[in-house]
Amino acid sequence: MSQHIIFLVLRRMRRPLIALIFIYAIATFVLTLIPGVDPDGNVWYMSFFHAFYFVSFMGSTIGFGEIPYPFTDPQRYWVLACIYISVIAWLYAIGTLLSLVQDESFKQAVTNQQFSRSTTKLNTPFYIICGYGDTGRTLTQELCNLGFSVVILDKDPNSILDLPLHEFGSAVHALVCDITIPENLINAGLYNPQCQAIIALADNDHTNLKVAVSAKSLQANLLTVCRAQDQAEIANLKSFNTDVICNPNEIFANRLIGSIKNPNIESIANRLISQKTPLNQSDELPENPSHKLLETVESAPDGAWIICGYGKLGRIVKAHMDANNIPVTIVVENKQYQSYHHNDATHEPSLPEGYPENYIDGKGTEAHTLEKAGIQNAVGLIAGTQDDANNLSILLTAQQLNPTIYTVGRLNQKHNKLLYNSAKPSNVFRDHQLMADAILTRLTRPMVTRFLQKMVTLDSQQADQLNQSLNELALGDTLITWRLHLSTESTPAVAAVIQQQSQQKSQQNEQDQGQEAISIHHLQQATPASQQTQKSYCLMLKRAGQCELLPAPTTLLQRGDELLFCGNKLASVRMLQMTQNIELLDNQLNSSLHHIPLLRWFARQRA
Amino acid sequence: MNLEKVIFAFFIILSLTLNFGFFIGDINDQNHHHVYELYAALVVSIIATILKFGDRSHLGAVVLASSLVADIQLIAAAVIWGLASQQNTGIDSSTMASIVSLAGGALVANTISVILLISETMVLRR
Repeated sequence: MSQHIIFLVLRRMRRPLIALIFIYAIATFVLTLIPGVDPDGNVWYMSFFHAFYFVSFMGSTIGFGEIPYPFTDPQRYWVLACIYISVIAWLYAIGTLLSLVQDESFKQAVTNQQFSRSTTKLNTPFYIICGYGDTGRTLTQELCNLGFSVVILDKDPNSILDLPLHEFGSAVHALVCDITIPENLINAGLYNPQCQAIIALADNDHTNLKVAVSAKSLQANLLTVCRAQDQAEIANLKSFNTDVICNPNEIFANRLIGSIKNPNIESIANRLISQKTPLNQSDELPENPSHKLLETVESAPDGAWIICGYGKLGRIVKAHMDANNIPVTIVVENKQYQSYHHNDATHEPSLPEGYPENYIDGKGTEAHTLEKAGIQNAVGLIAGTQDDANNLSILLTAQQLNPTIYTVGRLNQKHNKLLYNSAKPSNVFRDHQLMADAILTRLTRPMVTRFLQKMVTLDSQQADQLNQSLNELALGDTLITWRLHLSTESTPAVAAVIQQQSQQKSQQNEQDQGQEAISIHHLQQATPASQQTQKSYCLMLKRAGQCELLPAPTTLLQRGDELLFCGNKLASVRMLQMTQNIELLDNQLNSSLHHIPLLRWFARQRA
Repeated sequence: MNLEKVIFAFFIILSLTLNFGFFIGDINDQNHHHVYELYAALVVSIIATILKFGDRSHLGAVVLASSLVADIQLIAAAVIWGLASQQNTGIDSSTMASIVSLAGGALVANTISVILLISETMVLRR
């Protein structure tokens, strides 16, 4: 790529350079031919050395005078001509160079080169985001706060205009290019081993599909995240093993149904997904961000629902509600029906494809349409059209007609957020926020995502209990989740104890050391003094590919286990110390056996 | 026929012929080597080098390299000549020998250029 620019310059400069050399050569040559007269009256001829010296300073119009002797008139005639010709040659050369620098394609080549140089040189973990819309913006901000670098590709130069003005915590590289061209993905650092994932967030499903398919075929092992709304495209994405397919409508529908049918689980999920970025990154471990409840969302009621707007969102929500036996009425504007009235056509318009039989025709912004849809008896309403102004109008009308109704507003454009603050719907569907949260959780905390997926299998009693415990814990403290992987590298102390115990077991050591086998609750136990302030729950245990939810505290630890904990910060710090420091862990396990550290050390040596 | 190709080949072959013309003769006899011929060989060689700029093919790269070698050798010869001629004693035979041997090195590089040019033409013909 760098050679490309040099060759571009050389090729464009060929003609002016030849002209320059040609003129210099002629000027020098003729000067050596014209006879001069020295002060003594002898005829002399200029040597090439002197001639070239003279032409050099004449051509650049410095002018040191006539050397080595004053010129004769014929010499002066020739020099006069040479001055003008050489100036023109110089102007030609410099002009060509300047026009080359201003050339759009040249500028593009330089930008591309700088970009690909900076991405291939990236030696910290980074993510590639294709498509810089509202979701991309939120995601970039969050990833930067976590200390990752981000590479942004977008086709629209206007979308990344605000990037230089924005202060991100870490390096953000952006390039305007067509993301469907695989070469641009390679330029963005697809082959860089530090590349963590590629995230396709363009508005167009098919564009995302192209990105995903090129990423998968170029780098099969790279985590590929793709946004898709169309069912056919989703099926296509699944066919070539796209790692994560994010459908904002699906996420929303799932969470809404979860909120209606199983509010406890939804509440836990909400708590774990929304995350607060640590202020001081240096002392936070990866996969260790704290959580806060961004906004308390009251759980949605069970009963009759009204959905205004029957696009992709409406269809998915209706399908989910039908599956859960929630009665739902669709309010949608039938464009065919209107044209039927307008044109006085003779035949009744057919039902548009996929429309339910009992839909109510209308925008939903008028009171009579909503009354017709049964708003007085409905418990919930979703304003889900693609027009924010209409959604707002629907919300306000619905709240007037039925003040107790649970309303969900769909926010299409981030900048309309202020309007929604005044309407105060019970819940807001912001697809960019949902997407960013889901993707961020998946990328930076895969264990949490796994837990959330498995969590639906919890029975209501367990879920209720966990929700209450987490709520209690979150009252005075920020919740954080962290992951422990029991290996010699990450948790040397735990690994050593496990190995020691297994050796004792295999030797059939009759003499009981009085040492308990290490299990989860040992890690969780607090020092007596601070028992009140540190608490943690083990959410999940992953062993040999199998996940166990809420494992019993007495579960014995094994090498290679992955554990997901949730608790307050103090507990996490304490636990991480214990996994690193064998003294602390030993004290925890054998405190009853040896009180004196020296004896403890001795006992360990003997074992 | 392509005018660009004609000019390209013209300068490459001309730089070889001029170089050869300067080189031929007794290595230390000043009467056999004229300064104008060296000058012409140098100018033509530099122009030939610039003509080769911007060719990204592998062969183009080798031709450019050989041409740069010829330039450096000829410039070195010209500089020695220029320095020696400013001395009161003029150019002695040992200086002349070193000038001509430098030009001889340039001749080899120019020959390689021409061989490559011809071989490329042969490949195209087939």
